[in-house]
Amino acid sequence: MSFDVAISLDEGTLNRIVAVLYARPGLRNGLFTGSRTATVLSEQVTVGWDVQAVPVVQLVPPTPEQWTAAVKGDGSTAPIPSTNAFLISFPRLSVTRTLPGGTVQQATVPVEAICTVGLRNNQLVLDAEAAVVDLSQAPAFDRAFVYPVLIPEVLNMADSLVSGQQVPALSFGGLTFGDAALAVGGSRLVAVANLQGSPAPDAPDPASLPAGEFYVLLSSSAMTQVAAQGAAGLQGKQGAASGSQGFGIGTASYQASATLTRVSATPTPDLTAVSAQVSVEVSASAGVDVLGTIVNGIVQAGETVGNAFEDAGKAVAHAFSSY
Amino acid sequence: MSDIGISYSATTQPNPLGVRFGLSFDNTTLNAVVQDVDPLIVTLVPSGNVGEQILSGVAWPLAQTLGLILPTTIKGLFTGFSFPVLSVSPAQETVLGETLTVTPSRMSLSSMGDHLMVQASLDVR
Repeated sequence: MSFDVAISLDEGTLNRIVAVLYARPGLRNGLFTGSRTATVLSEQVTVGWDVQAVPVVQLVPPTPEQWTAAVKGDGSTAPIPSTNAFLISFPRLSVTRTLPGGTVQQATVPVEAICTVGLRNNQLVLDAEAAVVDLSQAPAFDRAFVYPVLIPEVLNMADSLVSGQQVPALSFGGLTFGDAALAVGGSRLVAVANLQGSPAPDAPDPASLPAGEFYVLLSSSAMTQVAAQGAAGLQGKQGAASGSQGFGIGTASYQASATLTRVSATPTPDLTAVSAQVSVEVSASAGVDVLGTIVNGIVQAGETVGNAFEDAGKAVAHAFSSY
Repeated sequence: MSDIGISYSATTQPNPLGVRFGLSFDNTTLNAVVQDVDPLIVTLVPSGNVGEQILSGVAWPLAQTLGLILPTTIKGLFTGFSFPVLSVSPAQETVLGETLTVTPSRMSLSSMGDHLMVQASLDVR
């Protein structure tokens, strides 16, 4: 596993998204059913469609047979991107055809959409590219309306069901990644990238990665960068202490400060914790007020002497008053 | 003024100081949070030219007082410090006026070979 970050999303999650969309009454009527009138081989024909079962996302590459039967939205079978492709199946697509005389013909067919996953502006984008419909035995009239009417609608539905916007957004602490490589397979969709400045990684083999609904893998290099940048926020933090304290010969007022200077941090070997080394600088000083202490002593001594005189005077007065 | 100035030269042991961060989730953000800081000793030695009476009567006793106060001050600098490692935000999409929200929940952390693995369940509504 040679990459700095991997993001994996499994098809079970995409299928829950599709199921929630399918269950919405507003979409049931607006997206999964509809009709269109078109001129097909000089005849006015109204084509209706109804998706009668929940579509299913399959994060596996299409088979060669599916590629052969794939038709693009414009009816062409021009080369279709063959990397990072997966399928959305519409197991029961009911198609009705109303002819000018009012005759309604109905058929229920399975249709598959081939989708691709890519990146635009580093955002995950899922696109419906082609529909897989076997029309080899169909009459020319059927082919004539399926290509211009039905296939674009199927692709539109597929585009609406899965998109890159459904993948939770990630932000990494101070990390920037370069170009991503994508891979689809093993029922999951995986994007990998290296840290900015490193060459882009090769597309991974999804089967070599762990299973899981949604996960992110971060390499030791990525964690080292996160740890270094994050712990750097400690640098320059400063604390102070001050106060005063009396001693026998004076009162000391002190000031002290501590500053966190150099900070280095690395993840622990199992990457589930971070260990940091922080240098600390301390400075301290004090001022001693000796004179204040002496003056206070003199004042106290004076008060003691004064009290003694007062006591003596009272004693003399008391002696005279007793005669 | 009657003040007599005392300067101190101070050293901390150990220096650098070891600090450990644990990784924990705050909602859907994985943070590195300071868990513990090495025990430390701050030693202060009076410096400069002060009389013996001040030195023995004030400077050294005060150095002991500061040696008790400063480790707490220093450890306080780490209290509550954290930094984000990874944040996973809900995704929202509107299809034909219907809003769909994919919200990460039940996040967990593990070590997967030489990678850190952050897993989440996704609630779709």
